[in-house]
Amino acid sequence: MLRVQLAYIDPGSSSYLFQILIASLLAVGVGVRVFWKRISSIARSVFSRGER
Amino acid sequence: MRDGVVAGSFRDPSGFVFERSGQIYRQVNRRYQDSYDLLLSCGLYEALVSRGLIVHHEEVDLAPPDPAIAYRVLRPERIPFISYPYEWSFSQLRDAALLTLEVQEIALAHGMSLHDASAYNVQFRGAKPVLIDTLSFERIRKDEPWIAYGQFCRHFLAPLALMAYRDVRLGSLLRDHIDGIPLDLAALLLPLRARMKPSLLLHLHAHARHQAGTATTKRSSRSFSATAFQGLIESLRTAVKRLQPATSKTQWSSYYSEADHYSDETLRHKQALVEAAIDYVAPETVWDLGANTGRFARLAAKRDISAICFDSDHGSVEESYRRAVELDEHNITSLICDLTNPSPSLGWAHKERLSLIDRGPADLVLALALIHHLAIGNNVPLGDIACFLHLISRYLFIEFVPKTDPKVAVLLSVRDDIFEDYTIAGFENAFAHWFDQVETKELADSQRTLHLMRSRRPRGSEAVGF
Repeated sequence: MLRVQLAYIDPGSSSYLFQILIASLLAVGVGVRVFWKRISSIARSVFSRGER
Repeated sequence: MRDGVVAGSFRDPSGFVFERSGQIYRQVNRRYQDSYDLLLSCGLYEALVSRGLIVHHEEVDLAPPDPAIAYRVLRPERIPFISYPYEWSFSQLRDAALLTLEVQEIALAHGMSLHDASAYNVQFRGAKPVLIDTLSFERIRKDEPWIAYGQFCRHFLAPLALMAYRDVRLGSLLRDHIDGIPLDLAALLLPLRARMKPSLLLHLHAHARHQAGTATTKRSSRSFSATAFQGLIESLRTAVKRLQPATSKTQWSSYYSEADHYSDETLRHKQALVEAAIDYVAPETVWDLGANTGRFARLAAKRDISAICFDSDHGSVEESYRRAVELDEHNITSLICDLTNPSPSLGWAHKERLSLIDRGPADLVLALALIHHLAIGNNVPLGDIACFLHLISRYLFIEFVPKTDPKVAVLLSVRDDIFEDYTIAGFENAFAHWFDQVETKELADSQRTLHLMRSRRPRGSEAVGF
């Protein structure tokens, strides 16, 4: 029965629901990238000070 | 179909493209009024035009084809040649994908979003991709995911992954699937190692699996945050950027750079003859058939003429495109086209995507070192070649390569010579039915001849002789 129902969901609708499912994962990805950028920026400023 | 309406735009309720007196226009419908006004007032249109990411347009005072639902009529910048994703090389499709993501990112910053991500909304101005659908934007829907995500994956990510992990020729699957490659098919065809890439595992494999039956019909009450939206675009961009074509260099892409069949003098002479033909015809558009990496088409492009290179070899098209990007060449577009099986009319009522013939004729067609591949390599009779070239050209500059030429000898070395008519007399006789001879020149240091011809009969005025 479920399969029959799903046949009526177009791929676009399914993709819509899939995004909601992976929303947390995507948000965490952004958080990790922002965190990593900050760490590398701090590291760069520390090392450049050391070189001076 | 309303008179003059371009069939490819019939699905969009926001408006449609129509042609009048040889000029392309776009009717904006009233139902799109709010979005259209917002596009202009929020600064998004200006931001995209100034970066060269979308075609510019002007509003015109012209009677719309469907006045009952019309809000505005636009005259967009004309694209010299409409091409389709199944005619693009890997890098062209990848650049079109990155353009779509860049446009979406800028749209988000202006409070709008692309409501579709069709590869057919991207065209090439020379070697630069540009969005052509001004009506693709809507006000961002708060806390909702990207409505065009599935389409982006089908139109861009799936074919690119297949071209990167399997074979660049799989881009032609887009010809069978004009709304993009179904994700379950892409997941099935991709090798196991593609799953090692987290972004492909997520956007193709998990996505396909979800589509296949783990979904529920109820909309989730959970929302999609702006951070998640940003993460989605970044993740897709990472996925696209990391893909590389398996290999690009082929025997054809190095045809001229490693050529041993042309002396320098012959090449120089051929180049001079092509330039003379271009100057004589003074065309606005030149199609170079079997263009290889576009050496001769570039002679037209340098004269500010729109030149389209067609070649069946992906490596040659890829190399020509990359060179045009590197050198910022404005007038040269390279496309994949097998002349023995050119792009057909596709889609609803065979009218959504045009055949090669329907996109012609070009003012000048170059067919250099090509005829022996069609006549001897593919058994196409000379009369049929002449008829086809007549359909797509106003002028034709064609090279006849006789049987005594070393390249033809190679073709004939592995098969019986059943081509009794393949002589200069047979060639001239076949083409005389469709063309008037303008000039014939012998190519220096070879037995080849070059012929400039004018299409004799008005195109479409009589039955085609196939």
